[in-house]
Amino acid sequence: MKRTEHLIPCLGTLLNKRKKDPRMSYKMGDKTLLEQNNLNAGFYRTYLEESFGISCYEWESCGYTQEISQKIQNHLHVPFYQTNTSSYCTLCAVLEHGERGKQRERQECPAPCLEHSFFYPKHLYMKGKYNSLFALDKHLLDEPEQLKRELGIKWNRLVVNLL
Amino acid sequence: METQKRKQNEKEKAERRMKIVAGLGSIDEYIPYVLAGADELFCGYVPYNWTKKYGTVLPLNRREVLAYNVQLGSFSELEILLAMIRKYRKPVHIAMNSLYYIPEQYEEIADIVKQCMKIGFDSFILADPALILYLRQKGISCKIHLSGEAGEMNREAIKVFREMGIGRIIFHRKNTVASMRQMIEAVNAEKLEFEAFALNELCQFTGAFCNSLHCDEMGGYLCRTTYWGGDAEMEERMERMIKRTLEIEEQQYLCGKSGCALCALPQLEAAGITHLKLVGRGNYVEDMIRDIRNLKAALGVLEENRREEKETGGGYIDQLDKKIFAGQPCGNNCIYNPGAVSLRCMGKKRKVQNRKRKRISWSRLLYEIRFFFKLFQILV
Repeated sequence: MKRTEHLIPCLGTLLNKRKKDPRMSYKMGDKTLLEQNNLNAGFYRTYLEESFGISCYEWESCGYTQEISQKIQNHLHVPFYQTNTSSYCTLCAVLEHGERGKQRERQECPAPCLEHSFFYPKHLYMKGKYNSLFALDKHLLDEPEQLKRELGIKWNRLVVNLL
Repeated sequence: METQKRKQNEKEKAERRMKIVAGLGSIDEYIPYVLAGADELFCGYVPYNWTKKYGTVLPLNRREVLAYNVQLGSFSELEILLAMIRKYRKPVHIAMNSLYYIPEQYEEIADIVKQCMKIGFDSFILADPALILYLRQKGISCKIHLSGEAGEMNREAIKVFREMGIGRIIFHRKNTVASMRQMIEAVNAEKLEFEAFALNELCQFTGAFCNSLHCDEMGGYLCRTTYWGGDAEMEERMERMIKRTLEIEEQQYLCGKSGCALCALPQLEAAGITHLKLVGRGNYVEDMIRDIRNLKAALGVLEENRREEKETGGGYIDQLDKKIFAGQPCGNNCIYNPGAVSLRCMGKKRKVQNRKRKRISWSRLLYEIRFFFKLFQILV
């Protein structure tokens, strides 16, 4: 993948790794350590730009403050964030075999996600859709002023993902 | 002369055979696993200074726990392990396969790597591309095995990592044997080794895209949190499967009950896989020993068969059935689907046919034409 005249490669959310879990409030330890990830390392961003032309990054609002370099283009996905993804379809696995782990590569998609989802206990604000699990960032919805302050400074674009 | 020839043949056979790479939870397990048949081992090493500073918030590898016997915690343990390696000559790789680290940690990890290399550990299992890049930029020429947690997706990704000086690719679990074969054929495999998961811990999701917490406080993994389908038919299927799963879990030991690729060993070998990963850091030692022995027995069965039978899997599966499972059902937790091979599943033999790709429908074709036309308009 390389930058062209019309296309700017953007590092997607699945390649932008960080700890994301709706049970984060139960986690013990110094959670400020989670504010950074490997994209805060300048040498890595330089490598991505020089090798692949990546100068734009996708992030997800995931329940805690993220330290972002403002020298780059940043897009924020709200209000759902991904926690787990499989290469194969988990819904098809359950409908076919009754177990989410029994996945296989499929040649065509019967689109079970139009009618089915996985539901979780209420306090987790989580849902399983397509091949992934998503959680809702309640912190963002409870304090929208923080996002308003950050728009234009930290975030160049807002992507609203309603699953 | 004949004895020498026989020894030479046996040596060549041993070199061609896929090697067993087993997970080590503590140094006490090294000797039993080697004697059981492991060819290589891997372990986690987390110095106390790291645990004191970062705890399990930012772990050094994917075992984000303190309450289980899954890591080596002191440098002296490495030194003791090294003495054992010198005697038994089975190497140990060190896993530092967290998906990412923060900037201040790269220098600390480089120091840990240099300390380990100084005493003789020179191969590391890494998943963070930034860490691999950092080590190479600092001129640290350790052997790097690309962890399954890196989630290599295609041949181009493997080429990128190969340019970083990777010595071995560990394919992640959610790969078909066919795609592994294509990736191996697409890269220059002369100086590369390829490892695939063979036993235990088949995850529901892809490790590279699993961002949830796996630590002590949570009590369980997010992917194992109770869920329901919201639909009566789905619920009924899940109920039946849960019942069957509980029956299997009640069995004290069953080879591959949490993930198994024994039926697919012929296809893995034909695809070019050189090493088989046996996951199990923190598992019961007796179970791990049995797993290693069973995997070794399966490889023995593979060698006994002729090439034609290996590729269709007929004779191999029957012999595997007798030798490992003694005619009993397996755990039915297959890591790979080998295609047109007779599989042992729930005590019944069934053939899984290679599905032929169906013709594309007219509506799908029109949709794609409209999509590319709009894309063309935007670009022009």
